[in-house]
Amino acid sequence: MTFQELIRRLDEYWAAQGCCILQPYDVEVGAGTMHPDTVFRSLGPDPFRAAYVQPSRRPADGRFCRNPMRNQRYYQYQVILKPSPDDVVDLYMGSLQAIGFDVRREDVRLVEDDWESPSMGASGVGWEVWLDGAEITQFTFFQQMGGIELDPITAEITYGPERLCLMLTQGHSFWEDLQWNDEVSYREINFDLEYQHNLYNFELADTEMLFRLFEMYESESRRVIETPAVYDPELGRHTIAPEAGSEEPLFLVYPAFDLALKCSHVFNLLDARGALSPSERAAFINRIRARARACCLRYVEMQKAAREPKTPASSRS
Amino acid sequence: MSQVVVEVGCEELPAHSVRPACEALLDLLAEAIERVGLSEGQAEGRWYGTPRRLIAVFDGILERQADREVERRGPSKAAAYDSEGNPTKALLRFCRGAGVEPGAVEIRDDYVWVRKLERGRAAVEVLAEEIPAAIRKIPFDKTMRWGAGRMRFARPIRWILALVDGAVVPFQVETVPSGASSRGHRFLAPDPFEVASWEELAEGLRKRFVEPDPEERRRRIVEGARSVAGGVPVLSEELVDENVYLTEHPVAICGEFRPEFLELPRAVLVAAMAKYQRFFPVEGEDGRLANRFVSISNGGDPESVRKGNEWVLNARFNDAKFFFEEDSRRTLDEFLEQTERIVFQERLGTIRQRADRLADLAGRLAEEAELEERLVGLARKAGLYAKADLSTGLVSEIPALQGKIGGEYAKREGFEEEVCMAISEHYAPSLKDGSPGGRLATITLCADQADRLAGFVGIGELPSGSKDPYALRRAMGWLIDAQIAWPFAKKGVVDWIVEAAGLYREQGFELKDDLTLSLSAKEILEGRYELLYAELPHDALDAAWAVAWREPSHQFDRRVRFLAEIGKDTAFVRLAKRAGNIVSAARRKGIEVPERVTADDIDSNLFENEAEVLLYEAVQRADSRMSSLPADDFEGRVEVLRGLREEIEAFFDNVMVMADDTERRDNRLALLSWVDNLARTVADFGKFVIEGE
Repeated sequence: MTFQELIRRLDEYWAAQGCCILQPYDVEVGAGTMHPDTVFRSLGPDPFRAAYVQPSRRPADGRFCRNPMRNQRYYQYQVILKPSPDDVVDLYMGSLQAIGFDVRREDVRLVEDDWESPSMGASGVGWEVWLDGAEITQFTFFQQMGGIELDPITAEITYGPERLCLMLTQGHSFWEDLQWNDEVSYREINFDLEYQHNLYNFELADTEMLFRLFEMYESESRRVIETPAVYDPELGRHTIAPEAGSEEPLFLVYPAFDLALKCSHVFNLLDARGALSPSERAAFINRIRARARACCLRYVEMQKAAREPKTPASSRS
Repeated sequence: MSQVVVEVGCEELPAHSVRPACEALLDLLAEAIERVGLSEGQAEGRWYGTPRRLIAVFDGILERQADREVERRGPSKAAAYDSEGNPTKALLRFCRGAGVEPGAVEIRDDYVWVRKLERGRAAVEVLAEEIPAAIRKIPFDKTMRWGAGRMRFARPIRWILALVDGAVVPFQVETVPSGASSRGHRFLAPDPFEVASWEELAEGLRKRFVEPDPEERRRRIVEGARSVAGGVPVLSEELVDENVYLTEHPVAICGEFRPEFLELPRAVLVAAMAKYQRFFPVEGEDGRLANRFVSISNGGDPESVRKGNEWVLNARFNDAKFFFEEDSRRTLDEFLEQTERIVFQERLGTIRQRADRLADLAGRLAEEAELEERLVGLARKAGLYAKADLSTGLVSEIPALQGKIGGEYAKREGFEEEVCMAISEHYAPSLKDGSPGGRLATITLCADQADRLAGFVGIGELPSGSKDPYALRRAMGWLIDAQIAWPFAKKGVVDWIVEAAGLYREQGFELKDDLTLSLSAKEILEGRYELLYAELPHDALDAAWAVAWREPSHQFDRRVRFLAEIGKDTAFVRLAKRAGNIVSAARRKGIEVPERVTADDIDSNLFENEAEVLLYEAVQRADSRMSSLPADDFEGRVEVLRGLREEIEAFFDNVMVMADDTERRDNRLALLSWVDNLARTVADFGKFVIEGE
């Protein structure tokens, strides 16, 4: 089993379950959950199903490629099912069969594990899935996002594709045993990137610049989320008009959220660099949450407004 | 007689929640069955459960409720008839509602009544309301919603089986309708199958790789582990229990890990196996760990599962070894300094600051325990280094090893044996261990928990309802247990906390003032005492609490238990509370009575009656006898009080306390208050409730 074959099989399986196969989000994130298609689409009533690979960055987890199963940049395979179907667990088990595990031969267990992401104001209830004692998946029923109680509930399934691939091949190390395809190894694709980022994250990153960046991203995110756009019939599109009072303003939640994600990544770099005192650390997490939450609240607000019967067609582009 | 079977099928429930949920389901159903009259006397049932099902079974249930005559009260006679004796609208309305003619009512006690025969309903019909209600009421410590539903439960419900003598009890919970079918093992026999009774269900499940009875699973786990281990499996009760509720079809499998990992500290190996993998470690005959483990699988091919288990355990040990080797490049002093970077609580500073307080407090407690000087010094050292391991790689990787790793690293650096033990054990010491190391571990624990309580209570982060995010109630429980197990304390736990708060202030932290702090701590203490003495009569606890809540817990413990006994002697309790009752009644009327009375407060010239003089003299004698008794000689004190019986009785027979002459009245009240003072060195006997009074 190669890494790309594993992902191909997961794509195929989940596509057959009606999931959009999306592409990774193009901003650094700590986990697949932070992809806006998970964060925003778990809010509000609309059904949604998607699956995607998300490269995820956790600078403090870097081990200079000396730990066989831990990187600062690794992959998550993420599935979102909204509302969570009654047979969601059975569907998941089907995916294990699809990638080559025989669930009747192995010992597959759902072990209580509730998940939370303080910087996104997100929390859920669920399990870690164990296969012969090895954690292979985080399985979560989201209960809150951006601090907002969800309805309906979204099921999130997050696989660790590197580990799954290792288990299927009885390998021991990402760096020694994983094949990307039959010719090229995971090491050839990722080793240098991983190694160099470790050096940058732990030793070289300019903390003063990072502090400044955090402030800049944060205030830009705030400015964006507080600046409405209104529909201009002459232009035939929305335009930024901070002073104009409008019944149906458009708030730019996507750009504002990207900036919140930037804050989160900068924070992670500062943390890896050891530049944050303990109380600062907690305060930074609160600041990121405040930005993410502001985006979520606006998103829900606009969705609600769009659903109201009197909404003039003009307010939707 | 009928059989009722209920099975709630769920996605995997948290292991720790299965037993309480089954017990709750059983209790709720039993309560419902009795309430609706479907049992003769108590409903006797039993429960079974696995991670995927909660089962309750009742035999001997009535097929239908008995018919019964019900009586309903209508309007008053005056409102039911007008001046000419004709039925009013009110009466007609009532009769229509009750389904009777106005002529059929009876008049009793100035009201209109009707009597009706209510037909009993069939069990199936009644239970169709009661079973779903019971399922919805099962409490869990954490619940969730799923899909588009509104219901909260620990995990999604997938099927419900509900039968009375094989007939389906029809209802629906959320989107799940009840039925007669169950399901077997998730992978080995997933298809639904129908049953008509508990016996068929049990047989059907067992055929389908599900053992519904947790005791049977426990037996299989324990016996299976012993037979495959090739050594002695370390079967901690907690871990066996967890495995019982992690499996439906437990099979013990023995595997090996690479022998080089045996170089890791035992605590690391045990934690990785037991805490994280739920595997049982295996010891050789010499008591040392072997490079083997027993896992409890829930099915699968044993060879394949064993390979997978070995793979994951080797990977985990490899990780631990990585951190262990990284850590070995640093000293405990360096780790201690690094705790500067770990926050204890935002408003309570860092772990490094905490270390200084713990050192100070542990030293003071060792002095309070009158330990020899060397040990006082070592207590300070243990306090200082107790939390140093929080900055190690191994603890950040395996947090459950807090303390153990610090102890291990301290040993590696040649710290005193007692200090190593104190660091290692201070999260959960065996409180009765009287060795110097054991004592230091207890002292470190007390310093740790008192500091935690002082900090969080000091910034107003109090537990409320079911919420106790900082585990303050448990912290209080530790302090009480420690004081009782090793009665060295000269102060009560609240005063320890006040003392600990002082150390925060010395470091410049702002905490609430001592009075507010004591009152909040007192409230947590009261809750813990109520739990601790739940088996004893509540009035004994009240009587002790009112006079002695602040004393050390070992003394309070003796006091409560003594009072629980003496409380049975109602003649004595009556005597002991008599004076106090009069005094408090007078105070309620606004009369000032001195709290602490001495001979000077009483003017013997005001006495009119010999009984007064005799009581006065007897109380003086009693007072001086009592002051020669140790504070916790409750038996001796009660004897002294008993000695006042004749004088007290004569006083109440012959003296009118509430005289018109206020000077004499106050003098008598002061005398009684003095008697009460003596009684209150043991208890506030007024708190005792004497049945029938």
